[in-house]
Amino acid sequence: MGCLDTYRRLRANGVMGLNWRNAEYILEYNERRFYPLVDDKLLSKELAEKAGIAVPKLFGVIRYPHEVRTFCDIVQGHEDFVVKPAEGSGGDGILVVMGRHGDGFRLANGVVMSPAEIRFHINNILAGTFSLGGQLDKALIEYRIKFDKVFEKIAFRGVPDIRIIVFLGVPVMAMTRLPTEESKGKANLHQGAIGAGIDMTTGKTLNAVWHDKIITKHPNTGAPVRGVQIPHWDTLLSHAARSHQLTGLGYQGIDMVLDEDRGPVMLELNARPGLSIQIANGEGLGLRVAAVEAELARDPSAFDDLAARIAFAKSNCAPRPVA
Amino acid sequence: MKNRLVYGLAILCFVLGTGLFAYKIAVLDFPVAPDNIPDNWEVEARVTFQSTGGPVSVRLFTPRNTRNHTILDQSFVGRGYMVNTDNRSEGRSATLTSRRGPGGQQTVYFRFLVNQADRLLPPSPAGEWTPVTPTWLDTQLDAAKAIMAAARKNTKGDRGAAVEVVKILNEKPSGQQAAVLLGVAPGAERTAYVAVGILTVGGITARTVHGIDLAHDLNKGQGKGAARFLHWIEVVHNGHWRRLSLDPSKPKIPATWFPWWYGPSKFVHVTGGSVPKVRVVSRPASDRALVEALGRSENPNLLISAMKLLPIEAQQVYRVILVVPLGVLVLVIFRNIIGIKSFGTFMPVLIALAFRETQLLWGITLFIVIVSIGLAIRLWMERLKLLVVPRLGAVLIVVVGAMAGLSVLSSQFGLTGGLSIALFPMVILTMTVERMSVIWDERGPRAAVQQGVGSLAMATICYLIISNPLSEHLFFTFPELLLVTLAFVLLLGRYSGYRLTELIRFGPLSRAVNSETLK
Repeated sequence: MGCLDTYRRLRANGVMGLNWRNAEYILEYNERRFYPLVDDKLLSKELAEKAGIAVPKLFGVIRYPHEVRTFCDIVQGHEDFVVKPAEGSGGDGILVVMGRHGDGFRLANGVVMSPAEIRFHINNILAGTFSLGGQLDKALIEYRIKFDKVFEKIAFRGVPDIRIIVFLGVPVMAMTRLPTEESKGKANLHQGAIGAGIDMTTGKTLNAVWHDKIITKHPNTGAPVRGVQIPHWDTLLSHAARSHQLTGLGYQGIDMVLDEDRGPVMLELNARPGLSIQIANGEGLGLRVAAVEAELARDPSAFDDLAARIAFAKSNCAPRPVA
Repeated sequence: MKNRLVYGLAILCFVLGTGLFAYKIAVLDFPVAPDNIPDNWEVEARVTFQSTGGPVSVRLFTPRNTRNHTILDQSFVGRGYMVNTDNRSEGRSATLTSRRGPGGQQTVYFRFLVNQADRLLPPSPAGEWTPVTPTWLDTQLDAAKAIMAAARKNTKGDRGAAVEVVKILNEKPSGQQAAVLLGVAPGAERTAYVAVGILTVGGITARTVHGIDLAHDLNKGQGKGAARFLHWIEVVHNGHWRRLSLDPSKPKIPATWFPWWYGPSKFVHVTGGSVPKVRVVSRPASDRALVEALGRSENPNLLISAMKLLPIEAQQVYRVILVVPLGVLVLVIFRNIIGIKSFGTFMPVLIALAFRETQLLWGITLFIVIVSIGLAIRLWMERLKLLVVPRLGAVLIVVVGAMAGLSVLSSQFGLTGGLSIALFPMVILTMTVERMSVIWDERGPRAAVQQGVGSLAMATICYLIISNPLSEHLFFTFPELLLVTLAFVLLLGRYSGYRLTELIRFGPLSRAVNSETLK
């Protein structure tokens, strides 16, 4: 009885379940042939650059084991950089190099790695250690994000990111993921990062969720996590609204970070964005997505214009007033 | 649109499946539940040989009714062969001939259904038996006479003497006289032949009997479940045939020992081909009602009797395969309705299949032991920083090693259950170890153990469902139920409601409407 009751109320709130997301949105709007565009970060990076979305500058790509020895040439002249697998998931396999230490490289967590150790790590990336399904992969070496000071107090040793769900070009829901001590600097909710919903109209943080519980202060820094204004909110929204044409995927997530100098930078796209964003926002995705579908049914060309999509997001995807 | 197509297909499958199912039950009188009459046995002999290209003839013995066994139904399967049967004193025999000169490998099946019952009838009367005098040398004849004389000395009557002869042959196979007759390391067949020879020389009517144990274990033993031919003898006593065991450990012939033919001939004789290979299997005919129902229907067609047309061995395989879809349906329910994930999509079904062979408790124990060993070594291997494929290979080798080690250990302690571990799918175990170690690293030991236990629980539930005799019988007798299963899986494929676990995960969101969220 309790279950059935919960079930009905979740439906009424438009909370999206995995089956619902998969059956009605991912299978319906995401054509499989477009998946490689988001699964391969090198491809999505190239597409994003063409569309005018800022991405971390690519220093070099290592595709084959015999190219691994070119690593030192690639990072020549770069004090700091990031090594990441092109098809990695969940932030695995990423090395953040903060600077040099003698012959070696100093990582974000203070460990110093020798060039040989980094080359071994790159070999592992190529062998598919971090890619979905273990297929062969590429290693990207790119610009290291210097994250915006706004997050200094609410992110514990790591890069917080902003995830926006985009449905048919309309940004419908957003959250920021803040690393904690427990998540070891990673921005993954299941590893213990905080997720904070974002008001689509203002770009201010709403409730924050940590381990599926609502919190008001960062557990490590003690700084309030509610009501923080995300800088460059309009740019973030416009990046998100543009990402649909990039890939052709109707339902996708875009992950961005804020760079001190360059502003919002896209890190990656996701064809099956998770559903925890609903908990962070205290609201279901279903109603917002349905509003977009209804608007399209009314006027098929309603979202042809970028500005129209952003305007719709700001006015129709605002958090619902709490009863 | 998409949904309508899915619903249409599902309804079509469901109607077709249940329709045929209902027709078979209501009109053809097929049994819904397996009838467990342990007295009915299906026996099948498979004869394979290489044809030389000319005309071929295969003569084999077909059993007759005895006082304990009634042959209910028999049939031959052999493409291009004509069957003739004739009666001789050694038994009824059938000759399959092909004049067209088939080439290459030939396979002929002979199948029958036998009912075994203790009818308490008097033993079959002797007669219609022409004693076969052995063609022995003089020294052998002398030895036979000496043994016979020794046997007669202490006993009364023909039967007593026969018992004594068998005893002498069994107790002193290397004794002076016995060795002359038996040769080195005689088998049961040789012993039977010699015993009958001695008795014939001594003027007692006796014959060798060849048959099988109907209740032989289908899953164990040499030759993967094939029955061995057994040999014993019969002696005429007071005008009736009396059975006599040659095996001192089994003084009484078990009721499941089924006499097939008599005398010194081999079971099968092929002209125009190589020496034939024979493989005999028997299984309890749990579906006698089905066979009878098939017999009643005017012209049983393929659609209705599909699975029963297969050789018994293949039937045995399909009894297992046909329930797998049921396990898959259970898995789909677990994943998409309840929301429990397992390591690998079909892993629990495959583990459940392994449990069928190992039995549940042994299965669970062995699974836990192997996965724990594999996991411990895999976690330690993390520091070796191996590349993916070699790492998986190393885990597989460890798993195989652990399996072999456990088998040896358990056989040392006399635990036969431990030997069945070889039936575990090692690739599945390897992938389980690998995925578990990844989760262990990423989300901690608790999550890994939780998922491991979850997978094991799913495997157990799958096992309980697919190993149920009723589901096995239903899916084998009514393969159209596959369509019904397909219908349900199709429907579940478009189920977009919440999973049970999501009700908990999104629980806070169900309150947001009425109650106040944090300010």
